[in-house]
Amino acid sequence: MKNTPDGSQLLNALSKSALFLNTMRRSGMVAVAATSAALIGQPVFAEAAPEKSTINFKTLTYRDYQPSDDRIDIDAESFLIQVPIAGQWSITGTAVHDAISGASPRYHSSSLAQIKDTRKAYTGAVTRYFQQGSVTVGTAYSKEKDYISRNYSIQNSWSTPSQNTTFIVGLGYTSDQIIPNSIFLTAKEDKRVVDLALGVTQVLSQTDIAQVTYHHTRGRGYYSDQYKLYDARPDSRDSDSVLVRWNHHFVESANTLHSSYRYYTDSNDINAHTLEFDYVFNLPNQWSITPLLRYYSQSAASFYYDPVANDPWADADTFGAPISVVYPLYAEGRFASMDQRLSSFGAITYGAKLTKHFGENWSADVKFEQYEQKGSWALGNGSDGLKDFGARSIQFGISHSF
Amino acid sequence: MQAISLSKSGLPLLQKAIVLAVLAASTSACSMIQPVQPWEKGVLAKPEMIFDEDKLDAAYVEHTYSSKEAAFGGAGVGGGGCGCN
Repeated sequence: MKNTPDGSQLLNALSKSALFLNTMRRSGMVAVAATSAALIGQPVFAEAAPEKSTINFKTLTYRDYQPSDDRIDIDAESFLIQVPIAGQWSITGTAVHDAISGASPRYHSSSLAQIKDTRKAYTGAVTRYFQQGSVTVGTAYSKEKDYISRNYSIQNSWSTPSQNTTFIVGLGYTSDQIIPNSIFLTAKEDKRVVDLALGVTQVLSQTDIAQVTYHHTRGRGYYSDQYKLYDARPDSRDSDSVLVRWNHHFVESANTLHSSYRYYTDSNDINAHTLEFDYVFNLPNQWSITPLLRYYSQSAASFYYDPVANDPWADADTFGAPISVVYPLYAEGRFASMDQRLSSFGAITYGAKLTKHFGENWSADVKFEQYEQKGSWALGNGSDGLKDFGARSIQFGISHSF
Repeated sequence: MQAISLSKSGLPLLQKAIVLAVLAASTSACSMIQPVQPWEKGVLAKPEMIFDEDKLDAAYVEHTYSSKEAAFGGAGVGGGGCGCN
């Protein structure tokens, strides 16, 4: 399943080989996908087929970085089409293409290795609308040179006669293949995830709507990162999250506040809190501007190990890594990781989206986001020794209804 | 792979209790809400009152975060994985 080199001699040899460096790709790697529940259908309060067809095109330019180095660049284009059929059906399809390049750390925020990849992802969903509910069946496919993902989902929503309360139940199944592309993975691996979502959307008043969603995932298979140095994770991961969202419209100003909070916990011992606000200012001439603010905090995975100042087994290529701790665990088939994403940190995002409508059927938008991540911003004890991490992104979008 | 006992494979009791409490609170809150009539829903029908109205934006955001952070999802099922997380 994984290579377990014997002793520090081999470690040194591996570390110095070009093959090793070239294949240690990606950690903060972002492959942007047209995935997420958002595409399959959210329980909005109106359970009716869309009256018009919509097409939407969007681009993303993304870069993440740490103080002395740029890390990952993404250029992505995505396309969405939604078509109503016969008043009771709709079909939604999306396609995404990502070009990914840059450098990614082999451990913690150190030893950046070059990467380059592309990703193509597609989703399709069919929805049947009923008097007081809908059923959506969806599928998704995503392909990178080292990762293939297939997903199938079904979601049922139904409303009370007043249409003030909508319940949602969703069930998903994801089957992923991980293709060997580093010395740490010698054969194809797979991963299967079943997920369940239960939600309630409630009209609270003429100007307030809220939603509570509980989401459970149960995953089995290969969860380690083949590009990370001595990364060995449990072959199961279960997660639970509760997301609460609330939209409030201010009648006098015609502005809208979106608020959300998510609590997340998983079997790796990671607990996370996400708090987010954005505020839609409606401006004259069909312009609007929406500033946003988000705070995120997570605790570390139980098998995450912090950087150390001096480790007796580390050399120039593994400087700062707790090799004398992590390598024996890895060699014995126990769990260990030095992935920054499993450390304890806090993060802040701020940004704004500017939207212009042209009549009823056209709109264009541009969105800027700036992200900053630091160990010291975590609620509770943040992980030490990692470089700060940041990202910025710009989206351009255009949408047409007909 | 030899397993360190996965005693955490289930939710710790406290976290289960939190999840249940949130769901219970939301359910009981619903029973206190005054109904809104169909003709009073003009504001609620505005695009900015719909959750994740810009679906491609929501998808970009979900994936760029899930490549940098351990937590993911929450809003529902569907989509699929990628090698980024």
